[in-house]
Order: sequence, then C-alpha cells, then structure tokens
Amino acid sequence: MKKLSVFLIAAVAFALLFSACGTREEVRELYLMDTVSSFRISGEAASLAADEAEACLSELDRELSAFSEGGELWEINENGGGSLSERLGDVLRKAEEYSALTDNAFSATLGSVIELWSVGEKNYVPTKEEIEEAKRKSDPQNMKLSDGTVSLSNGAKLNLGAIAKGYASDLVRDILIKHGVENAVISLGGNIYVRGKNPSGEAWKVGIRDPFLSENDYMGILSVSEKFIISSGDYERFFEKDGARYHHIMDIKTGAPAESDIASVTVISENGALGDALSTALFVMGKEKALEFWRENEGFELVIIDKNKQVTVTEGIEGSFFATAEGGYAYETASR
Amino acid sequence: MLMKLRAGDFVVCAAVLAAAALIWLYPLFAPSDAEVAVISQNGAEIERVSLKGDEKIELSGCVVRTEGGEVFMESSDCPDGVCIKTGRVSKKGESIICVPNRVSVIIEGSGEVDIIT
Repeated sequence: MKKLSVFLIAAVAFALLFSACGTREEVRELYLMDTVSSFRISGEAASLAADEAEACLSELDRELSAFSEGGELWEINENGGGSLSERLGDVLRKAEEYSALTDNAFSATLGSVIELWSVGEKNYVPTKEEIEEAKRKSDPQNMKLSDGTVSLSNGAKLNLGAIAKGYASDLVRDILIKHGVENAVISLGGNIYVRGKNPSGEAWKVGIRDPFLSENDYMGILSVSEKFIISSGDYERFFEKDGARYHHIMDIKTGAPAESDIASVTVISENGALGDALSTALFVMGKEKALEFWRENEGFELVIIDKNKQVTVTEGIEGSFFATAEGGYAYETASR
Repeated sequence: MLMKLRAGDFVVCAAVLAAAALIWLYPLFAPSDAEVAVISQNGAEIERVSLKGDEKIELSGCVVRTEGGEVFMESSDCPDGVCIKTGRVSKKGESIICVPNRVSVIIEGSGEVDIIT
C-alpha cells in the first residue's frame, strides 16, 4: 500500500513535469514571396500543421507571384489571360471586390507601374511618358474576370503583392483550425496572424514598428488574439536618388509612389486578405480619407501614424493598444 | 480499504513535488549573464554565439560579427543592405534579417513583444 501511494505521487509529479515540458512549440522560418516568414505553433499537432502550412505557402508563392517564371500568375501576365485555378480565381475575385470598395486605391492591375519603378531592385525613376504608358496599362478596366478565366487587355499586368500575403495568412489560419491548433503566431513578411495565447498564457503582444526608427523598434503594442495585424508604410521598401525618396506603394492615379501624409497604417481585422489590401489602400488615401473610410465601413480597426508623429487609434481597438515610444508622439482616439 | 498515510509518505510526496517544481521553474531563474544570438540560414540553425565575445561568423553571402555585447551584420553582398542598416542589436527577441541571403540572427529569449509588424 505504501508502494501504491508512492507510485501515485510519482505519477502526479510526472504529470506535472510533462505538462510543463509538453507544451511543444514548433518554430520555423521560411523564405518565400520575397520575404521572410515565421511560425510559432503550439500543441500536439504543431508539427503537422506547420508542414501543411509550409507546403501551402510554397505552392502559393509559385501561383501568385508575378515574378515566378512558369508560375500561374506569370503565365497569365505573359499570355494576356487564361483559365484560373480555384485559388487564383478566389484571390482575383477578392482583389476586384476590394478594388471597387476602395475606389481603386488598392488594385491588382498595377503590375506595369510596379515593374517600371522596380523599387528594391532596379530602382529606376521613369520619365513622364513612361509613367503615362504604364498608367494606361494599369487601368483596372483592363482586367475582366468571368467564370474561371481572366483576360487582360491593353498590355495590363497583374501584381498581387498587396493582397497575396494576407490571402496566404487566411489559408494558414484555416490549416491551424483544421489541426485543432489553439495557440500560434504567424508572420508572413510582417503580416501577422495571432491565435490563442502566447507561451506565457497571455494575449499575444504585437509591436507596431516605429516608422521613423530601425527594424527592431516599435512605438506601441497591440495585445490581441484571433486577429490579423497588417501594416503598410513607406519605410518598408524604398530607394533614394538625387535627394528624393521613392517608396514601393504605388498610386494608380499618378503611376508613382503615393504621396501620403501617413508614415504607417496598421489594419487589425479578422480577414487577412482584406487587411492586406486595406493597409495599402488606406496608405494611398491619406489619413483623412482613411478615417472617413473606416467610419463608413465595418470589420476592421486602425492605428495610423502620420508624418508629424500623430498617432490615431480607432475606438474599437483603443483598449488593446499600449503606447511604448519614449517621446515625440501624440495620441488621439478616432470615434465613429 | 482506507489507508493511513504515514509521516514518511508526506516526506516522499513533498520531495517528489519539490523536485518537479524545481525542474519546472529552473529555466525562469537560471543565471543568464550574456545574451545568445541564434544564427540561421535557409531556416536551419547554423550557430549559437554568445554576445560576450568578439567573433566573426562567415556565412554564404554575409558576415555576422559579435562585439561588445552586441551583434551586427558586418558585410553582405545583398542588393538592398537592409541587414546592415538594421545596425547593432543586443536585446532579447531582437533580430537581423537578410532576405536575399536567407539569413536570420535572432537574440534568444522573449522581449516585451512577441513579434513586430
């Protein structure tokens, strides 16, 4: 009997030990879609879920990249159209919807403008004529979607750089749910998805990059769960030439980098593709129009940092935002 | 049948539980005098290096350097130079990423945030 009680105690102790060490976390780092992605997935199915998510992302990388030679989107751009896989069809329908929603501030037809400037690679400042030509090619009317096919006219080229990562994060979320994963954080090149809690058992803490400082500096923290957090800003990719600075977020109206009073805009939503497209569109719109857009639409919240270091947090996320920057910033809440 | 626990049982019980608690809590209080940078390429860990020393870690396409409790990208053949512009890092959770060379340098441990957008 004494042996039994010792055995029971030992079993309890092992259970305690196992519960402490048993919360396995699968950590991965991938290089896809011209960026770095990372997973931190907890739980028994973490490894399986991470494998499936990794496979899904490498397929998407090939399907949705305009620069992946021989990939689906690349072929469509080469041939001026073609039939669509279920997934590419799905992304293009969403792209068309968000383009209409944002009055083309987001657009999937900007390929020619993006390639012309080639920010981060050729870093070319084009002539007015070249810009006009690229703008004509980039007219959203040049893309026609119908049942399972897309056709491109006037030399239009598609580029999904402002929606693909968000869309991919939606699919990763579905994979995590399928495997019963309760706690995870996924970053696809800074497009974040948080699920459940962090290893300390608290809501995930997502730092919002300080657009005026370096990669590791953040100006505030969002403490959230089951959300996509996606930022756009002119600090992400740019080049300087003859004293001028040119960034990667293009305005379809001018065929050039958007002249925005926003330094960075962060969209918090429950839809990755929407959050991604909106972060670009709201940057292009500028602060006043972005807030007006927020008041007229539902399903997302914002943190906007303007170039004067004024931070505007929309009321739905105010309680989850904590300012951490030491100085220079002013804060306000936007209400509906 | 009802059993009477003796004093010895409590001692064994307390000892086992104390040992379990110790093992469980150890990482929280373990001495950590210097930060450690985990250097990976292509998603696979290449080296863990203490920031205490002065070391050069040569990778394909770039060189990582530790000095004075900090780590930085000393040189890189990447076109954008983002990794070099990141500068010197020294705090838990901070990182240097070179996408073209598929290199990451991450300081082990959790900082104030879990991730940055």
